[in-house]
Amino acid sequence: MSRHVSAVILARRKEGALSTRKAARIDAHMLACALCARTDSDLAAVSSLLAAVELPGMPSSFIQRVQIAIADESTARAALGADTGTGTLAAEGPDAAADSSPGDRGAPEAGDGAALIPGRPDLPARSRRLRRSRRFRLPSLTSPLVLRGLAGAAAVIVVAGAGFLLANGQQQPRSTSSGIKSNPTAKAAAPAALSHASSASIHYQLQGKTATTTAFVSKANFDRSSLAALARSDVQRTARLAPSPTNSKLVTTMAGQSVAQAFDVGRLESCLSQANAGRTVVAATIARFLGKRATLIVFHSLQSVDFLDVAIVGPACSGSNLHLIYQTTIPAG
Amino acid sequence: MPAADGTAAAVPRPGATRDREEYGDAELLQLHVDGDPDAFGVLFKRHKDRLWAVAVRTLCDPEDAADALQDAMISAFRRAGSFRGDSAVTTWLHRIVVNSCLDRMRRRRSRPEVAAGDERLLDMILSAGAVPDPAHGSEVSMEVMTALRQLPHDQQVALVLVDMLDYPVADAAQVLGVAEGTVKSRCARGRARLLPRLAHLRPAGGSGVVGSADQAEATPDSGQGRRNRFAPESVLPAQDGGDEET
Repeated sequence: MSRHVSAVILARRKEGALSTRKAARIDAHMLACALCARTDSDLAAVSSLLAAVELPGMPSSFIQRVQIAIADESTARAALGADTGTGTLAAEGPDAAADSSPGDRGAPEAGDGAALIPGRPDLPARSRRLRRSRRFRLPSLTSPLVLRGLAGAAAVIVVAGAGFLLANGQQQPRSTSSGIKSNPTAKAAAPAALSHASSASIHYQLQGKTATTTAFVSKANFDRSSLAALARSDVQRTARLAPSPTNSKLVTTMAGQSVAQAFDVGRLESCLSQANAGRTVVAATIARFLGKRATLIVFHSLQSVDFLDVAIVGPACSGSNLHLIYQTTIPAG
Repeated sequence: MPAADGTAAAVPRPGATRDREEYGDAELLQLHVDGDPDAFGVLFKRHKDRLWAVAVRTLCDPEDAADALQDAMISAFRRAGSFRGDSAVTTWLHRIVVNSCLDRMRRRRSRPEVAAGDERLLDMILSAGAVPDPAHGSEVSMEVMTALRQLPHDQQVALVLVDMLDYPVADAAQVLGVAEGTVKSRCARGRARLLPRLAHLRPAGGSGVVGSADQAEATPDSGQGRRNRFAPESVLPAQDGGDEET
């Protein structure tokens, strides 16, 4: 071998990644080539230089930071687990952010049979699928059976309503094809239902007086990092939408559910009365926090007009149980 | 969950009188999955030094490293239920931290290079007095870290694990999720690339700036080489097979 050996080849030789024959040839070459022998020695020094880099341990402030983040997660999990009866978040990762986070790629994926089920490690993955399949599901609206049933119910309501109005000498209102007005007692709510409003006025007790705020229903699945953006967006929406008696207590459409199904208005009102602690409620949004249903309540901070207090409460929040999951203060801007 | 890290297979119930510090990693993770609010914190406390060592050397910036470590821990917290026990808990945690760091490195590449990270690193080295001779040692360390940062990410991480933290190649391969031969190849290429960048740190005709040539001859996988303070004997427990070299 007359040519010099490249540093990469020498480094590979040092790692034992070359064939015996090739390594022997290089060894023989280096006996006669001072330059290659020097390069080989330098490569060893590179490893030594790397090993000699001394960096201090993790600063206590950073340790504290991570510990607080873990404690926050633990608190949120406990609060949500109390609601669902499980002690942990779902393994499939309820929030999209967690699912796409870099660290998860490092986590070995669960396989059939070997997967552990949070909260139910005694059950194999298959049982979990069975459990899931037994959950109640709304029937598909495209099912012919359901469509026939809806059409029949609508026809009965229209005929009965027309008869009722004729008997009372009133003009028949425009009929709708949705069949929403299945409850004839919901006359006052009808206009809002037809307008498919996404907000409602909610009344709550603030320092002995009745105050009004706006409640929203959102499909958003937020976490602590997206919480501030959602809160500010609600504040802006509230500013655009002044509460009025016409949209009171009726909100529509959250994944096909009316708000009456999505949450208990009376409970939300008592929850806001309990949670406000003398602060005006700017908005309340029923959404999902880390995949679990929760209500995000935004208050005007008592400390400064430049800040908003934000509380996340679970669905069990009521006049007697706050079910607080998380609270923080964010800049209003 | 199989006791991959050699801990007892029997999983205690939450609320048992045993101190959590006495539990093995796999047991702690199982306790966490079962709803124990403190188990994961104990796990973090136990491994934070090694995880931090990986993060700060990989990212060369303490702030970034803290962020990456925090992201990784939250991710591990949430995904603990998907841990199958095929590897040790420490390996799993290391892998999550490394992936978190790699993700940050890729994002960092897409934005203009800032010197703030270097300054923070230097501040940390000097303020902590980690080296006996800060004036000289910190300068060398900074030069090495700066050169290391110029490498492709895969080579950089391989060198951090094998050369800087003295992990056996087999353990590094497990953490990175690649074959041992791949780790060796990445290390070899990385060292070759660093050679011209660090040549000035070695006096002409003399032995290396740090350690003699004899010292340096002890390669990481020989098992006889230098021992880093972050890599005690049990840094990554022996795993299920995987000794073959590809």
